[in-house]
Amino acid sequence: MLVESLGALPRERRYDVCVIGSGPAGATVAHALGRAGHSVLLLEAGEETWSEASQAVYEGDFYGDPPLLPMSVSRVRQFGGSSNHWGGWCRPLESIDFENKIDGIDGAWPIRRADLDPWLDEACAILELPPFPPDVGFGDSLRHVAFGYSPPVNFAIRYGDEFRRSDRVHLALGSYVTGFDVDGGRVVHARVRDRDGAERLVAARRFVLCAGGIENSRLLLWGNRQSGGRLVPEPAALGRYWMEHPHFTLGHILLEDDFPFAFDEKGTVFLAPTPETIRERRILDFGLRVHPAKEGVARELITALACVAPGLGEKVFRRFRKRLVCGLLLRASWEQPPRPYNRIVLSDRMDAFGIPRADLHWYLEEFDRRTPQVAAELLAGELAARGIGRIRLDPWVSGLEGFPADDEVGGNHHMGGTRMSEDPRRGVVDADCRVHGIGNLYVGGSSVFPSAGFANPTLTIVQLALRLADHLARSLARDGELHGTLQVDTLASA
Amino acid sequence: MTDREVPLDEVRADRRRLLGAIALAASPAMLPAAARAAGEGANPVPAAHPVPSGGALRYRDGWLLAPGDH
Repeated sequence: MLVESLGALPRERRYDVCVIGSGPAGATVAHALGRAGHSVLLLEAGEETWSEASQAVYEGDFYGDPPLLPMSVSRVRQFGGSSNHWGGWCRPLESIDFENKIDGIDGAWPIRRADLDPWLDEACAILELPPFPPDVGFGDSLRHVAFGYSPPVNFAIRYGDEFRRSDRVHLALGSYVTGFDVDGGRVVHARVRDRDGAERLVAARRFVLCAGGIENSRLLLWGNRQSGGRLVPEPAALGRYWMEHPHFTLGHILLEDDFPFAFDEKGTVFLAPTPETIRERRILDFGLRVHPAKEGVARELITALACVAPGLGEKVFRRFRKRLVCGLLLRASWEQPPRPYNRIVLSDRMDAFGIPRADLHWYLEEFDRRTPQVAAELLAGELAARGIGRIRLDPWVSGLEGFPADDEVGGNHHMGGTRMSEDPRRGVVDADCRVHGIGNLYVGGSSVFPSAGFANPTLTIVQLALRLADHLARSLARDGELHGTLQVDTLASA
Repeated sequence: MTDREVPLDEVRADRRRLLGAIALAASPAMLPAAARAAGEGANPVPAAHPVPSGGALRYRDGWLLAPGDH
């Protein structure tokens, strides 16, 4: 059902679950809980269509170099959230991504891949992904891996009609959560600014914050300030350990033969390290992306090669004239170390509703050069061992320049800030995605990632959302057994 | 432990001072050595160029060459 105004709801109405945010995480949680028979109020701050006024709420200052896309561009404040503009690239995290890869880099999850695997098939069905083919080894250190491509699914389109028809899931657009009332270690109400400007109180047995990889931190930081620290009693990690997937061009490949793997439908071959390589070389996870290069690149590369290795350059040029040599573009995205100083903070500038904006601090470090450098070395070694190619690195990879600001820089993958850990000093939510110290507040989305792997995050976000919905359904059922009448919407709002 | 905010005046005044402020706001136990290293520059260029070791490969002017390449 579409709720035209929260003011039209009965004051005593209490939902089983209030879900905040209608992107891939929030829409999936609402869908799964509605299917399980629970009453859900799904609050979306934006409207059905994109607007500059709504996007302006997402403006904030960025501190770092090179810069990411502005926060009002890289995410969408609209029904369906950032699924309104995503690319559809999907792959599950690797098993090793859930473990600590390197001593001193705190990236372990409190769950394992096996804990998410039960929701892989359904998540793939939601995202309309075909089955993932098995990886294929490429030498001892690399694997050819496949990405799946969602059409891409827009969650407003996928679930819009279902929510409008549903008598269990109520969707309220233009409903901006601006705070929470906390009592006795539980959230009693969400404070919601209705589209008419009035503040409404929403009561629910569980609250699930799925507002995005920046907004989740912002709303909890603001709510914690308003509540005097009662919303997030253990705030040490709140806003911190924020991550992106750095995306940069590493250089070019001069290939004297056919590449051993076919380019996929996006014109890409993906290569990733084996778990043994990650441990032995003390790197984080990466995905090398090999694409056909622009015309003329091979000739330019051969000319450059002839300057440093004339004999090899001459030999390659002879084969080039027989059309046996091509140029390839080598790009990569990789896993960034989770660091407490990469973080969301509340700005001293306010949005149009008087809520502090989010400021983002994001810095690359030398470790962010080491991982792609080793990745390029591994591929170069394999190509040389097979006698089929050489790699020329761009200057920044060799440490001759800083990270180039004119590259893609990031994938618009906003992760961390409310990371998952069993230790409240190192995480905001526990393994069930429940905020430490609060009995009924949960967080969905990539903000709970303790580390990032190299895979684009949406598939993992949907898996986590399905797992969270399953957990909530079970816990609500236990409440029903314990309290009986609480399943009826009878609790009066304060 | 509380979540102390970094004063925004400092943020806008000087990025280097900002990183110092963040370091002060964080518990020392939560701030690894890499954070202090990162404070030396937001987009670091290493003082000593860490050109790829390349394993069995040689690095020359951006190229990763095999031992027999000449």
